[in-house]
Amino acid sequence: MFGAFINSDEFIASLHAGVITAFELLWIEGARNVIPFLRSAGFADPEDIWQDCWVKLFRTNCRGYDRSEGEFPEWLLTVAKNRGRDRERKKKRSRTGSIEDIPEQLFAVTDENGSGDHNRVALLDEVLGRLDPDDREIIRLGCELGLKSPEMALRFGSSRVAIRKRKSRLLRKLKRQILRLEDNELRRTRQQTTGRDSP
Amino acid sequence: MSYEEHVNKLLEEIRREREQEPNVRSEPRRFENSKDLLTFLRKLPVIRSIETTTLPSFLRRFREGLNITVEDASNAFGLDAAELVNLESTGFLPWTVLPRTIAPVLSAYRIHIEAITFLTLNSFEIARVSKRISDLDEARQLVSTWLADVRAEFEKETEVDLLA
Repeated sequence: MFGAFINSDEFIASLHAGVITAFELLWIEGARNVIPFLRSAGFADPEDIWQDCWVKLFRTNCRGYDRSEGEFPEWLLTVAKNRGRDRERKKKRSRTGSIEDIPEQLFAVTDENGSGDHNRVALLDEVLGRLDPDDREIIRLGCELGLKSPEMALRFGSSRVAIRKRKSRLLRKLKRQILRLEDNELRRTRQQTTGRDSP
Repeated sequence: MSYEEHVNKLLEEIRREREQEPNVRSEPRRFENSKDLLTFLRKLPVIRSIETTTLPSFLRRFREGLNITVEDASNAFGLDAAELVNLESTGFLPWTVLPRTIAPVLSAYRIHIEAITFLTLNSFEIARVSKRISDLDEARQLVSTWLADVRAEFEKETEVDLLA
């Protein structure tokens, strides 16, 4: 259990004021209580998650905490839980592929068909050129600026879910288009070498 | 709601959320050789804005997020696998490693010098609060010199994008 002091107005005020000794106590209490909680919830690297939580709280002076919304220890566990879940989701997203992977995924598709570097660039240019401006902007934001869905959602004035769905559709569309273009390219090459259309 | 009830409620939430997510298994990303891996990394955008974490933690999660194995990455960076694991371990203090050892990793991952500074300072705060620093002023000086040396390594390799 957390020490009783952690929920006191004085301690919370010290955190909000950025008093380093208060954050040192928070570190100790977290190691004693948050890490075992994260471990019992089955998170990988509970120490690492608590470390990230502490840094975030330290950098923001715990401004996210509002006394009217509940007790401080409960809030702290909720912050840690959200951080842990956020990591798990990110890990899954990275495995399923995301907009940040687009250039690599496109090249992977062309690699399987044995196209050379020159063809890859030409194909990529052609495919990107066929996209509508919003889709091109999504690629620019994701690939060039490294923005994630929530930041893109702000720019487009839409929801995170809508952006995620759009990114997923866009990725499928790009793969389809590049495969189609490569098929055409292969057919043209065969025509030139054999003098007749391939089956 | 009591503290125990709140804990149980959170545990139940976590269980339900995980149940609703699909199970994803993935194979490590395969590269023909180290050159291919470095070429792949080179295409990634420069990382300027970064989540609030420490440098070792970021390095590990970044590599894992790309599904790159420790062996492939360490080979590409000219390190022993154990050395890379050490650089990525939770309690590691970045400024205790030679800048020329870590600079190839940081530049390969396209991490901007400002992001490196932010992550290193977070590592410093964790080391301080966990009482792993005996002389605070000396440690501050070490961190500052180390960051300047990393910058110098980038300049030597003309990593303009990571310094601009």
